[in-house]
Amino acid sequence: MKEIALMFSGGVDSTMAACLLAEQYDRVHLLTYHNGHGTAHMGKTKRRVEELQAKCGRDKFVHMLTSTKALMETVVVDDLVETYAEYRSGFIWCMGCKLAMHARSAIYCLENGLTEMSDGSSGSTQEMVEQMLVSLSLIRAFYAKYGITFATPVYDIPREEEQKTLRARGFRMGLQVLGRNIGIQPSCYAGLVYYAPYMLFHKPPKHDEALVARFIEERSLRAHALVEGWFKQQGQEVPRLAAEGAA
Amino acid sequence: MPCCGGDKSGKPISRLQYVAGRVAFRQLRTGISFGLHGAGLRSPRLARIATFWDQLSADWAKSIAAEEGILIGPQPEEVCTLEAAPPSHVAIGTGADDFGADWDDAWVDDAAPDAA
Repeated sequence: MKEIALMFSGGVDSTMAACLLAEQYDRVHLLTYHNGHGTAHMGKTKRRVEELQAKCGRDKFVHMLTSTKALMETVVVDDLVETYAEYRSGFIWCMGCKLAMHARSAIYCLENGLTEMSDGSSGSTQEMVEQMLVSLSLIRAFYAKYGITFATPVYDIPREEEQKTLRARGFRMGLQVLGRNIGIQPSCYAGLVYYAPYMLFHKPPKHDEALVARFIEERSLRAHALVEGWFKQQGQEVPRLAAEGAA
Repeated sequence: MPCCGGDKSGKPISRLQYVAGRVAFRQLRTGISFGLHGAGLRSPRLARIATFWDQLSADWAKSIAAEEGILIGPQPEEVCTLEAAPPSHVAIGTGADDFGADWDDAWVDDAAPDAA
């Protein structure tokens, strides 16, 4: 059976990615996370999963909703003030959150023998630090350590085209405001606040590529340690499990 | 600047938008700080997040006040491109032969009455 995992919120990009992957894979594992620091309305993702199952087949999708709170706290929250003094940009919060999600996704893939992982990163939302090309290339390297390939199936699809396609397929699209669809996915209040200067003043976020790359490389070490620690607790070694998945 | 873009990034805003944005930002900053410091009394982790927010929002406030990365002004006007060839009813010339004697007389009379 051909299977892949997808980081899934239920928004336009990840729903479009789920639709595309459902055409190419026998089963898509939808992974949804809440970080315990200002995320809400997780029920919206569940409703989106039901929509996908109704349109593409109930057995096509497996859904996991879990917390990354403890992982995120290790990756970035526990020394947040010191880290901010070093980087002087709030991207550390969003990128730290995302790294925790990727660590948890790697664990899921390893536990389930999945060698393919994906997310709904889009070129239409380049203002988001985790969707910068430098971030995505480093995340790809993060998964490669476990023998997992990482793909971004909707990166080059324009947002308008995604909206048109999903609307034509009968998906709920929420309220469209300034090109964004409101009310179809969970809310991340920290993320909303972080992009407030961008939304209010069109002020570009301070995402210096070299700094972002340094942060990801440095904190990836913590994320790898979390993955290894997860399996050690169960008396397992990560590389052996990865080899089984690759087989 | 080596920075990610975003479709709104660097686009101009009006002075009114800027002022309204500063009011909204001040309220956001104060509200979140109040909430986090209140919650931080019960949790050292939330207290750290409150300190982080204070530093981040103070840096933002300075940068917004200095209008760093913010373009205030009208939207750039669209530039009309010239047609490759002018419409048939438009005559092109130096202008020297386009005015008759009546015009020359009028010009001398009105512009330089003393010379008449």
